[in-house]
Amino acid sequence: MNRPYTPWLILLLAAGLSAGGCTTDTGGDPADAGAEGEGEGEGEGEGEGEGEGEGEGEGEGEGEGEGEGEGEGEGEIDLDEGEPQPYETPMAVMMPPPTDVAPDPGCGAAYVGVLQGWVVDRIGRPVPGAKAQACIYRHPSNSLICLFPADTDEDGVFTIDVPEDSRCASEVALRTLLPGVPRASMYCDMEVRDRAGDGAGLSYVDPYVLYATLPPADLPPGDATTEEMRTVVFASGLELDLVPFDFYGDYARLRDRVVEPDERGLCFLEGEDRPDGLWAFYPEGTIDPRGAPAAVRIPNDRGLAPGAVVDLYVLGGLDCTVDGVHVPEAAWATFGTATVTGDGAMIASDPGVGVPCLTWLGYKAR
Amino acid sequence: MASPAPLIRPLSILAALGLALALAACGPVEDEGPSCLPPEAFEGPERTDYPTEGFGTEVGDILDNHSFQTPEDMPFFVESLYAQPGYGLIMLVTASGWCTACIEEQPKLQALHDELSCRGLSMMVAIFQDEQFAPALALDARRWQERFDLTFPVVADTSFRLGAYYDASQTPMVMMVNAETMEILSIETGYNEANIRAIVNAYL
Repeated sequence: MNRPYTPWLILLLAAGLSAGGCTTDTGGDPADAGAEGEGEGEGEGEGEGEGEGEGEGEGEGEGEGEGEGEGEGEGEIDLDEGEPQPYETPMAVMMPPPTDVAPDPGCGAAYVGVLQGWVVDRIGRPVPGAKAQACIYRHPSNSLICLFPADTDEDGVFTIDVPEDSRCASEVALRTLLPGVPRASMYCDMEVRDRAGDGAGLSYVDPYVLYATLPPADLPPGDATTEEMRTVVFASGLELDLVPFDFYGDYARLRDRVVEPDERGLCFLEGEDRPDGLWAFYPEGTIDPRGAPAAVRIPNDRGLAPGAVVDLYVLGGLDCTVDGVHVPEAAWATFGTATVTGDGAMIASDPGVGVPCLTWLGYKAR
Repeated sequence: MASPAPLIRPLSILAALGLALALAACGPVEDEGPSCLPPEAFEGPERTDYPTEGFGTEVGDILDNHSFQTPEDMPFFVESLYAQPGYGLIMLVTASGWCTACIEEQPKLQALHDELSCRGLSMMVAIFQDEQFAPALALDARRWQERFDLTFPVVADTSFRLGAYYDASQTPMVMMVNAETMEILSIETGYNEANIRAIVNAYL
């Protein structure tokens, strides 16, 4: 994901492309490649699926009703099921973004003036209206700064102008999300050090993928004032013991999705051992480490033997702390172990092990 | 009327920042400032004569008496920080729910407050947006304070008034203010503890 593309290669590629974009990914079945025109970002508007309205009832005085929301609300999200289609990469990201910023040879790290990339859903359709937000470790102070997010356009393309005092960067992580719409946030390391020779304008051809999530099978009532333990049964069958008061996120909107570990767009797994199971959550949130551990039970769909031990992993995001140490954004980190139950049905986190945050979760058998 | 806490005034901001650079170059250095003020320094009548002119948004200007929302959804004016007897410096920090940098710095802010409040450093964090980029509300301030066990004021800056004081495309901001005059001493984005300590050592 996001490997460096040298400018000459990009120019060579661009020269051979039509103005309408080109296919650069073959992650999907080539037999399904005929679905051109799917990339228009249909129905990605925000909405809660409810509205307000006052009716003028005849003979009934006045009426009150709930209107219907428009767009992709949480009750009717497009789940982007089906075979992933080849990416229709926008021309804008095939070329280095235009910038007057010249690299600073005295920086001593990567000098980044403009970051450009694009956002798609699971099957490859652009996601307009998404937010792309970069957090930068400045060099040499190593102070962390987060930039105000840029919005994606109708082609899913975002452009981030980096302010001058944050351009000399040792690391940059990017978070993409669609506010108000239940798609799991995605975090990717921008690998700016590897691209330090590409100039100050960096374009990322591989897209950031926002996976849609599903409503839970059972979400016991609760909110930020609820101090009793709740067991949330997600759509995937994964169970989580959670005290809503300890959850810094929106408990009432919790959802998940199983993602096959070999699906495309999982940039945070690049260079890591692929997990045996992977889950995306929405909305992102952190679980207070001062509270009771949030035990997790995962369906043993891989048929591991009873008593088998697995390592549990989590994706570092806004706020994720394991053993008192903050997990950096886009880092895939282990946080404990789990054991297959005696009946072989579930993989249960071991005593004292709690999920530290809800971003992405995975396990891998030892 | 009790006199305000003694302040070490002669050093300029330039010298403070120069010291900060030296500190940054040498790595962490033990704070060599004076020890805690005696408890009576924090007693006595409140300051009530908040400046009425010279307001602006840059270093050297006077910080306006902005209003924010407390976690209890009550108005909170900057003058309530000014009013505190004994405090010589005010540190204002912006934060948002989507800002990882802000989240990471909260424990550092509390540690700094624990160490330096007894020397006269007052602190306040202003949350301006939640994690979904919506304007922050009093509830966000309350959850933020609970989440990080912060013992200093946390407020909601719903109108993002502090955004006028810096390049708001970069979060967080740290502003140091002379608590006796409400003059803005420095404005920085990002948390640079060496710079903060240099100013503290220069003024407290």
